[in-house]
Amino acid sequence: MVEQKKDIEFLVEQNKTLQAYIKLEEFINSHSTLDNFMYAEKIYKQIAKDLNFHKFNIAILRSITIEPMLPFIKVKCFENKINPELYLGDYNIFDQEIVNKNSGLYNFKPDVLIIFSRLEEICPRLVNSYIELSSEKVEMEIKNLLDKIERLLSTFRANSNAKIILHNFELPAFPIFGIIDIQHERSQKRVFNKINTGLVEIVKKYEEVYLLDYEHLVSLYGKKNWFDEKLWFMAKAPISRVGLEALANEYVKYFKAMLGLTKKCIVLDLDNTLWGGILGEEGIEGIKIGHTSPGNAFIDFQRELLKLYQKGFVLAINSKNNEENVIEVFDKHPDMVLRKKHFASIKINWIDKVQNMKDIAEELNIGLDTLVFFDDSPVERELIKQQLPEIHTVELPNNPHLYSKILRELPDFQMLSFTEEDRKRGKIYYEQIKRKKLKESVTSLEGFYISLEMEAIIKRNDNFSIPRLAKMTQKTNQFNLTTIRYSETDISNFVASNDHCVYSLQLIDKFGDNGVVGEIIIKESGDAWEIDSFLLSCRVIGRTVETALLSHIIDEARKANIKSIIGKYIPTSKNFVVKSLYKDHGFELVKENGGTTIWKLDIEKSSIKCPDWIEIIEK
Amino acid sequence: MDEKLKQIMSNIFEIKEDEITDESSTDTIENWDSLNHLNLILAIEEQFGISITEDEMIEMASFAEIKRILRDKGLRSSEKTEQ
Repeated sequence: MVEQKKDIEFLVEQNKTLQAYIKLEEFINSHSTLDNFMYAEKIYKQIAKDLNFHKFNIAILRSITIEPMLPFIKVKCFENKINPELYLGDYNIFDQEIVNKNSGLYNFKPDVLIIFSRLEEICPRLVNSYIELSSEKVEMEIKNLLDKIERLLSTFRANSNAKIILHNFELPAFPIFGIIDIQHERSQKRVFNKINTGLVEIVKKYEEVYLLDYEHLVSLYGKKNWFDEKLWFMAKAPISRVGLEALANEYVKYFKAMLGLTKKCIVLDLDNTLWGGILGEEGIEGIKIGHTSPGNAFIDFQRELLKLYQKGFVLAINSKNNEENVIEVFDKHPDMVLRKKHFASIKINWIDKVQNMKDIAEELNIGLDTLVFFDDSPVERELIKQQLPEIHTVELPNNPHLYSKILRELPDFQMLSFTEEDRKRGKIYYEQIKRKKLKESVTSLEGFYISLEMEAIIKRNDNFSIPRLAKMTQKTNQFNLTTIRYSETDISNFVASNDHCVYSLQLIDKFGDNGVVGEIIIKESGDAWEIDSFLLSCRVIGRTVETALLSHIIDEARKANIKSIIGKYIPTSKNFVVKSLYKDHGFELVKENGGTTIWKLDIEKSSIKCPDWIEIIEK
Repeated sequence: MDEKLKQIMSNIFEIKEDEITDESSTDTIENWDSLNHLNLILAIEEQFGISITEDEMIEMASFAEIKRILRDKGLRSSEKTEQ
């Protein structure tokens, strides 16, 4: 160990900061003791400037002694390419720092404020004299506490845009009513839970306030393991060595997400990473993936990876293998959880993994610094760490039982929000890439369109589509002829009314369902139809989808004995792309005013029909 | 044990291992303040796998004293510890 430290110090002297950084990280990984963290902190501080990390000002207000945690926070920040500055408020001081606009806190200009208070300090009566309080008094304590916390948040928010991480409260390890507390009508635990629920409601009201589930974190490690009696009584430092590191780790998850440093893609080796054994040597029947150990550990690991895929992260393969053998495993092995379709980029060849990594990043159009790499081979890991240090190469132990655990504990895949769009992203990503690849491989545009195998499901006045159609009018800027924004109520009224008609187009192609991507709103006006709105999602521009939709409208109009269709173009700074849309579809210009143009199509004379490569399905 | 202890003290107090003698104490080492004393205790507990009492914590004010207390707890001077 002394040797390693000497090597690191030598590299620092020689200004070989990147190598020093790599060696230091390895050192801490294998010698993660508290004193080594303190050592590492000092070295990191020396080389931080040269490494161009993200500066981040972290302020902490606390009701206990947490100085021993600082080296953990700092080292873990450095390990994640963050250069931290820390400001620690004085012991148990909250109001003075937050209320006084000239306080040390504000002068520090924090990027994030961590508020760590415990009920023992902020509301001691609920902890120490609970039984003596009447129910009304308890309710009052709760209300006062929540009001106080909300006041702190709102005052801080009025003075600073810094993000806030607020701890919730630990539930009592030994609730006052002991074994019957859980079901007692005056359960102490339930009261604490109520406070925590109240905190959830409060943080929702403010921008960028994040609740740290401290109760959950402590439980994860065990309340008994988390509390250090000696340190508490001697120094008001209740958190044990184990807890200090765990809490620091938890903070860094937030910091990474706040700085946009979360990763997008996991690149995986195959042999002894996704399955046990070497496929080339043992064959498809010999590799270990199944229901007994260690095969089941690999299945579990694949399941964890699948969860990430489902959350919108991307999976890729970088493996030295024969592609046919691997495809056979993906296609035929009954126990594989991951299949070829889960991977957005697959590099299975015998060239060096460095080139593969670069190709993967380029293909996916993401930076190398958004990749995480899992490979059981220390040699391959070393290669990537040396050549592509921006990639987070995970130190995998020899034991596959631990793979899932390590994956779960990575701070690289935390999100500060999760929406439906995230859920679909992995799939959409995969599909977009396939489309792009296809486009590149096909020589003619028409050939490309045909190969897409497009189906357009067109619906008329469909109630279920109302939310999506309203949203489209609000968000679509480029392919939007008149840029009129409508609410769901507006669309609802159009659908219900006698003189309006709302058409939606859902596009399915060879790669998947694009969802509802086209919209036309018609206003009936005697023997003419006016196109009030005509929109296309930018995802599907350039594929003649608009022609399919328009041709359908024309057919419908013809059936209803309508004589003409009127279209309008209102120019904006963003919709230049549709300036000549009506002209291209055989409409005649009838009026021009400023830049606004009005067009007319004589139905009898129109020859617009649906392109051959799109099949329209009416529903 | 002595080796390990010197490494810990070197890391925490920012001094060279060969500067540490039996006389090294809270009086002679500049960075040996109360916060670093806390860190020292945490590190010793972690690496020697032992639990230190409040009394022991107060007595451990010099290298010699720390060695004595650790020996009393059954650790031998040349004993290698788990890393």
